[in-house]
Amino acid sequence: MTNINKNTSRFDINEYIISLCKIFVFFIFITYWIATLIYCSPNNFIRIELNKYEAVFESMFYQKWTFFTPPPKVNERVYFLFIDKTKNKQVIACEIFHTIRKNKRKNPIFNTKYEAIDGMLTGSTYALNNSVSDRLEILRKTYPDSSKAYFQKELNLLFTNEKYHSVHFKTLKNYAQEIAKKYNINKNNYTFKIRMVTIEIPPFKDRFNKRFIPKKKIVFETFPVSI
Amino acid sequence: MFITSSELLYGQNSFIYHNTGSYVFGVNSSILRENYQILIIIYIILITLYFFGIGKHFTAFLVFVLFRTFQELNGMVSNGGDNLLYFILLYMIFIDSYKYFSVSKIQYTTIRIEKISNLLSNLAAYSICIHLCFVYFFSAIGKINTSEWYKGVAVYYTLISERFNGTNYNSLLAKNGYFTTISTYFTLVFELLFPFFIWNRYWRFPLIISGIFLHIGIYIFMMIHDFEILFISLYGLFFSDDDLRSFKEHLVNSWKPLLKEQKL
Repeated sequence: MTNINKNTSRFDINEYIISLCKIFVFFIFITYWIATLIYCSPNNFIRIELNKYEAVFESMFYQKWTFFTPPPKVNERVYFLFIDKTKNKQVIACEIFHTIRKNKRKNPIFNTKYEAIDGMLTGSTYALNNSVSDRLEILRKTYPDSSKAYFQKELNLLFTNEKYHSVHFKTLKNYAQEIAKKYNINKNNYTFKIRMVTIEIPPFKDRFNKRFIPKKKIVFETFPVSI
Repeated sequence: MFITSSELLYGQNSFIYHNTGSYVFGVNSSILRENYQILIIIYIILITLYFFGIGKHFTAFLVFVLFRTFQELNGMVSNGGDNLLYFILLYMIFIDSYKYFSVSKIQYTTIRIEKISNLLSNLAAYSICIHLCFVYFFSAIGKINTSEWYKGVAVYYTLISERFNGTNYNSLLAKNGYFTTISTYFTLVFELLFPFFIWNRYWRFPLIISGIFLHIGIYIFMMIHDFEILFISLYGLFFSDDDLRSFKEHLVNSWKPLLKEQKL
């Protein structure tokens, strides 16, 4: 008599599907984290080789974790200069960050309004500065023999021709309009320009040096435009 | 900030200029901005539903979509905390966080689905922890390569800069050489150790306490608020259910003798 083993193992389709799904999920998990690791890493050979896929990854998983690297070594001042169009050419200067940051400090937890304004204006200013620098670099590379006056003329187009006005410049211009309204500056009689100045923070070794004179630098200044 | 400063960020009368030609999830951003109040009401309702576990993964997904929408409508005010929160909300879509403090638990129709869901949930929870470790690690790597951090003076510049000058004591603290050096290297060491040692139960508690002190310090002295709250709240994910239960029992047992004494 043949001995039939009743305990033969049967193929369990459920377990098979679960195993397949688990393998698929693990595969996605590991691929995602390898891609994230490569994306976040500094520019190295592997990252550069995979540069063509960066835009795809960045569209969904943009991330940047470099906080205060480097730390700020200058304080910014952004001046709105309102220039009288009439003969006396009076200039009303208004520094925008001082009051906002003072108000931010006044009500630390309940200052989201000033935090938002500070964020918007700082972001717009830096973006505008970057677009000016980028434009200047392109001009210098394209026309290396041109004069400084030519570059300035081309840059001024960024501000005088509305076609070239960036989102950031328009935000700052709108804010200038609000300030003009607040201080009763008649926009028909005045033009305005933006001047960004950086003031050096005393280096650590000079922190107690009262004779230290911080360097001031005009980062950019726009051509006068109507308010 | 998306809710409390909504009029400023999205309103028609705000000074902020927006590009009219952009699209968010296929919808023209101008239409979304014109109806930002409706979006905010929907967002608040979704967050409330999510808080009580109503709608489960679907609600979590909608919260993620709305959050992304607000980010796209005005990305200028976003910071590193918003960047991390985007990923947290993405992972939360897959997490089964409805076993406790929820109106109802998830009911699975088959064991197969339950097993896969558990796997996804666990991997998503680990993803949050891993992502936090990534943040600290790459932040530290970037810092080490910067001269100010390497020489132990970076905290001086960050505390004294006008944009992040949160209190009247910033200048006093920043100019103290000992404080500056110790706090700069403490930040570096913490960010380097955290990704590797947080997984060890003996190192976990001291690292978390250090992280809480670091983030509270940044909260107070640098006026960076939501970012720090988010980071501190993520630390809880490094404790398992058993850890939390034994902590609760320990707490109850410590208070029991005191309560008995009072009764007597």
